[in-house]
Amino acid sequence: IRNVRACKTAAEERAVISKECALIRTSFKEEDSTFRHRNVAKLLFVHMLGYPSHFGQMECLKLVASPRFLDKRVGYLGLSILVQDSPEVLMLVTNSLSSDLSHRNPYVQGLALSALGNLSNPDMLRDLSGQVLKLLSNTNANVRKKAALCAIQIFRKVPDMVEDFVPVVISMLQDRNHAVLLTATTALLEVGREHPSFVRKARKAVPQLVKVLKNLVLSGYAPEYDVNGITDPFLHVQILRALGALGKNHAGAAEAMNDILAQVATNTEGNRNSGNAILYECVRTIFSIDCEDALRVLAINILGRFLQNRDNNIRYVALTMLGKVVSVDKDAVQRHRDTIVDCLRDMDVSIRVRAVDLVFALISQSSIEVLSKEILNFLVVAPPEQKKDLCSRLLDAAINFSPSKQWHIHTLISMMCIAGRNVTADTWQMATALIGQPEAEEFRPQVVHRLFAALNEDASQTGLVYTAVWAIGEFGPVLLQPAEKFEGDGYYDALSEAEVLELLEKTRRRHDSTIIARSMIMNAYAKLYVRFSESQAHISELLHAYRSSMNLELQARSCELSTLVASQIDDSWLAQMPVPTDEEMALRRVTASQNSDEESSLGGGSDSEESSSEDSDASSDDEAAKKAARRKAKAAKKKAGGSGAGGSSNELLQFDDIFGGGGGSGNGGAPAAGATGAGAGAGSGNQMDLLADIFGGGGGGAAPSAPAPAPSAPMPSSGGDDLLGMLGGGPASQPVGESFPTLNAFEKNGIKVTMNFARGPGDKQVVVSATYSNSNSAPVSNFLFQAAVPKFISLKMEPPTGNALAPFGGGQQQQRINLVNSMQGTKPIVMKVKISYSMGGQDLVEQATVQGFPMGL
Amino acid sequence: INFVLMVNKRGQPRLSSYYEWLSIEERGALEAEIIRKCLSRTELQCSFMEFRGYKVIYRRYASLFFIVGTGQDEENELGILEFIHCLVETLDKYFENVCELDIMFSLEKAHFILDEMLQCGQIVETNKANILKPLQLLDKVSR
Repeated sequence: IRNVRACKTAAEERAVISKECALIRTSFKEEDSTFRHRNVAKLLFVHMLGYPSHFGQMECLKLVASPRFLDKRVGYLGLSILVQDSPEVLMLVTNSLSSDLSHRNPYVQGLALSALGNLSNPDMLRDLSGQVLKLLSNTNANVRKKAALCAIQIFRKVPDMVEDFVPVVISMLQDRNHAVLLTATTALLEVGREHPSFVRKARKAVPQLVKVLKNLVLSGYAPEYDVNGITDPFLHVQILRALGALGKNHAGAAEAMNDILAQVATNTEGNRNSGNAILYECVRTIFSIDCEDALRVLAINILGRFLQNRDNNIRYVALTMLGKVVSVDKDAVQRHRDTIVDCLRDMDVSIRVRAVDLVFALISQSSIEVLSKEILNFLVVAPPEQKKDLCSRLLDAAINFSPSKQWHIHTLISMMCIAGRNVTADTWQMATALIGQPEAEEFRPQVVHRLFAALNEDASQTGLVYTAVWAIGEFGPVLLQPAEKFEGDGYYDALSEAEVLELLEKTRRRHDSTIIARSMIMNAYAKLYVRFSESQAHISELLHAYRSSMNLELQARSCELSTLVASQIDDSWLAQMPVPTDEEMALRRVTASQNSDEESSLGGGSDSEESSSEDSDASSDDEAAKKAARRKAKAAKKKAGGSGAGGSSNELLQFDDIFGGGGGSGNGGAPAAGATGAGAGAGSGNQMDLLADIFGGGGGGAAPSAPAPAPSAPMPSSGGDDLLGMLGGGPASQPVGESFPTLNAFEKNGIKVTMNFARGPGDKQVVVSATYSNSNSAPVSNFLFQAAVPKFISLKMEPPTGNALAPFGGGQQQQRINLVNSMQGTKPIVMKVKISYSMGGQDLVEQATVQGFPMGL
Repeated sequence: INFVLMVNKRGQPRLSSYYEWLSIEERGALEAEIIRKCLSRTELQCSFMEFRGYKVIYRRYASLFFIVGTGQDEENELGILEFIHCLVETLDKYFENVCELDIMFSLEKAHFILDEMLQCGQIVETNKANILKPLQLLDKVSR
């Protein structure tokens, strides 16, 4: 050891150790028994430092078999430390253990017992349990206490033997030796906790336990066990715990304990740690049994006293306990609210963590305003990993308890100002919904002004940017008038149109603005074009910004919107968009939490398994596109910025990846992967899809070749139709002209999909009308049809007419699918389909490849 | 109790006793991380931490950190602090003014003492006389 200590570098240490190990190995081979124990002890040291030492295992066995006590001792020690995981070696020891257990020398017996306990191999325990049982009543206290601990291991590993042991253990409680009492109590505690079937038997011990505790409390000064004025606090604590475990859910036992608990709680002095330990355990016990209220009040008072103690340990313990109590008895804890809030500002991080949990638990209708202010303060200093969690919890609390919409919005804005980077999509979607709702009309000016000011100050908080940009775009004119600040701190000045545009432009130009933000800014310009009458020329110029951008989404928007404003534009196209009501938002959040709820930071798009999403009715191509894009974003491991999804638009058309869970591919990557996660699960089809679309700025466009697509700009929605009437021809009207044979795309288990084809108006476009029917005797629900096509084809699916298929072929549903085959004429269309539905209480999924598409399509 | 560690200020383990099986690499990683966390806390902070699903209770005596890890929600933390103190006092009684070197050089004796006090992860004996009796006997015999 001295040599090892003298090593200056790790390499030197390794050298010394390997030399020593070599020496040890040779000496083992030579079967030198005199120094064997020393060598094994050396091996222990080596093992502790982390080097392999398994060659010493057999030596331990030999040591154990030796008659010398020292050898045995080191052998068992070596066994417990070095050999724990190899059951074969352990089997060899069983024999020696067995003979040692019946040895004359109680120390040897004790050794064997501790070794057995530490090793706790279930087979060994089972074989030797008979001997352990006998030893429980041995004359030597040493042996008894160790046997009791062995019994605990037996309880854990060989539960069927518990019955035999319990009565003996209970009789051990009559013992006078504290150690025996301690171990016996621990054994009972174990039974009470882990083996509820035997608790009835163990409960017989309760009166005895109470008596022992009483003796302890009342006894005088006992020097060997005294710790700081209290006799054997360990025993106190264990008895209390055992009482707690045994008295749970049992009124009779609980009653027997009431007096003694009250006595302990009042009489124990709390100025030293040992006393506090006992008080703490007392409180724990009180709350685990159902006892009378007086006791509970007593316990909470103790906790209150703890909270005010200056020692951090005690405060931590008190906060932990209060956290458990608050679910039972909220009012009592409210009294200590101020102290808890103070703990939020404590320097110690463990205390802060506990305090935060407690504060969230305490939030209620009355206290929400105060407490949320505190939490926002805490958010400023919280470590980044914690911020996201805090934000989502605050969001939940705000939804449940907020006193007014105005307060709700402002709190959300404050939250985003502090931690906008870390919020989930939920937050800013909620914020935008709230701002847009008609009830918000009266305080909307102040909100939008505030967002403007916040954006001006700090445009790096992504959530804030999205909300602000959206609000400015939608409600721009409001900024042209002054408004009073929230909570009356003054006035916001009126702004000019130029100033507004300048801020948007500045935000757009920032190097760290995400693709989503930039897309939204483009949208905002388009909206402002209609709303700001003076700056129309300026805005058209601004819209040219991304005409030649490398990013497909941005370029598409720039070109499309420029063309849009340049042509004969009708104001109603860019009018205010309808916003989901509270119930709809709640529904979304529920389905979002069923779907991929793991939208961490915005745009990142990490998601859970897509399989759950099949339950939702999302079958439009935008939903599918977003899901596919999200998977891509995840696979490409792109972080917040959303650019990953945008950039991978080409990969959307990959065959198999889409089939991993997405469905048809859209085109023009829906970069709003993360953003629309929450929106994806919406229940009622078209309107929601479009709104989700708008929030995320999804790639609603048709094939890039089409000149004026269904823009992702906001529009009064009406069932997925194209905005510009001129495009109506394509998807909306029934294709006429050439006729193609009907194709039976899929037929299995009574589910049939047939497809009718027609040429579309666009270049190389094909319109497929798919019809689904169900010829089983049971109805089908949640019918979802997903398709994937190879890269050279682009696919756009419209929502189906419904998801339920009535039995016996009635109630058919239809769905229109637009395909553009860029290799029309050279390569035929091939499609892989995935059909999922519920029938007769079962969820079924089918996959198939569809071939036989007519040539020339 | 899942493990007991004695680690010096530089991160070198002086004694490690595990009551549930962990492989060697896991142990090394665990010890390194825990000691780093303990070292970064100041005097004023409380002695309890949550780490990887364990509750960690530690206390510093001179140059050694005594670290005890228990499962969540099982043990009374203040009680464990008392136990650590009892352990130190016992070591002190046996080694007479114990210091880190004593533990290093008589590793197996330190293990014996710990094993008398703590078995299968539960506290067995806290009476110093009882704990040290077998050891004193052992010493007498091997003289």
